[in-house]
Amino acid sequence: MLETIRSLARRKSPWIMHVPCGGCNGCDIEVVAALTPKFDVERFGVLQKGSPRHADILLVTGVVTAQVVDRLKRIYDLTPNPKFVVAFGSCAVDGDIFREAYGFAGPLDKVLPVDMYVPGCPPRPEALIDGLNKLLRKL
Amino acid sequence: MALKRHIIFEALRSLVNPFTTKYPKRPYIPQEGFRGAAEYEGDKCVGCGACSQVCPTGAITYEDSGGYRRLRLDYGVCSFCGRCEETCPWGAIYLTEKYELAVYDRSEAQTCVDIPLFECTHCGRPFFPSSQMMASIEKVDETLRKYGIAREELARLIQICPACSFTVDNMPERRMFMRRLVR
Ligand code: SF4
Ligand code: SF4
Ligand code: SF4
Repeated sequence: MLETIRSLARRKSPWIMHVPCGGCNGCDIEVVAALTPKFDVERFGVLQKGSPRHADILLVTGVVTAQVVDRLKRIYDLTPNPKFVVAFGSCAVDGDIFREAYGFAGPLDKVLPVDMYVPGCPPRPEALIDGLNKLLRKL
Repeated sequence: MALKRHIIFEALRSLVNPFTTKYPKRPYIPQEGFRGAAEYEGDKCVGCGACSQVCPTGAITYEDSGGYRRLRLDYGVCSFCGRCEETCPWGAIYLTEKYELAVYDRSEAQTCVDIPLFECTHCGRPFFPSSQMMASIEKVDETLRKYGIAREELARLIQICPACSFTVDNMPERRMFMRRLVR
């Protein structure tokens, strides 16, 4: 009983924390666009949170650089269980145009376990909604 | 006062016709010229690999194995720039309007096309996409006619893999052929 309530609550209010790494900012703008009234991900109970301690989903955008690896791991450790990681944008999925750059520290799935990959450069806000929908369906 | 009226008007209007998209319920139709996931057109592609040469991110790779050349486009690496579509001489790769690319597994975010390879008439080793060979002969058809060379003659020469074509017994024939061209 408690478990059903818990899983229902989880599915109806997935709070996200947006973690911008070293991309070009294109994806970050699309994530912010998805929070605006035009796309309104709050329809699905998605709230943007400023602290990993409040978040269920880490929405990682941009390429994982050598600078950000340790911080990314720390943010992941601070997130309460159960936690999910979404790689948003080709940069997070596999480095995109930066994959041969000196600061590139591997695709996101080398650093964190990733639950959802959303390729695109940048993906549309609709692609984010689609990705979140597919992720919530899996919960 | 005018602003207040405007706000009230907007509020009433969005009651009837909401501003927010209906996205997951109603599909989103991209604008014209939207650059979505690239797709191959298998029967047009000749396997020349030009797209993989120009791709700025290296999203397109190919490998020859088992008598086929497999071209693989990795959406996780692609930057959706459209260079491949621009470059392909055969119009065999094009950007679709697909944007719902979210996957649970990295290896699903890709598209492949297999092009059969031609076997060397001497050693039997597959070495070159057969459709590219046909297409190249087609392209030089006019020049061949100018030099009075039969198609079959050229075809016979280029159906030998590089390893075999420079052997002693194959060299004289090739040299004679070249001499006819530079005459
Ligand atoms: S995926 Fe493209 S738009 Fe997004 S951060 Fe990387 S380069 Fe920028
Ligand atoms: S898609 Fe076009 S450029 Fe790429 S291998 Fe096929 S024919 Fe060549
Ligand atoms: S759209 Fe650009 S990045 Fe993507 S495969 Fe084509 S050339 Fe490469």
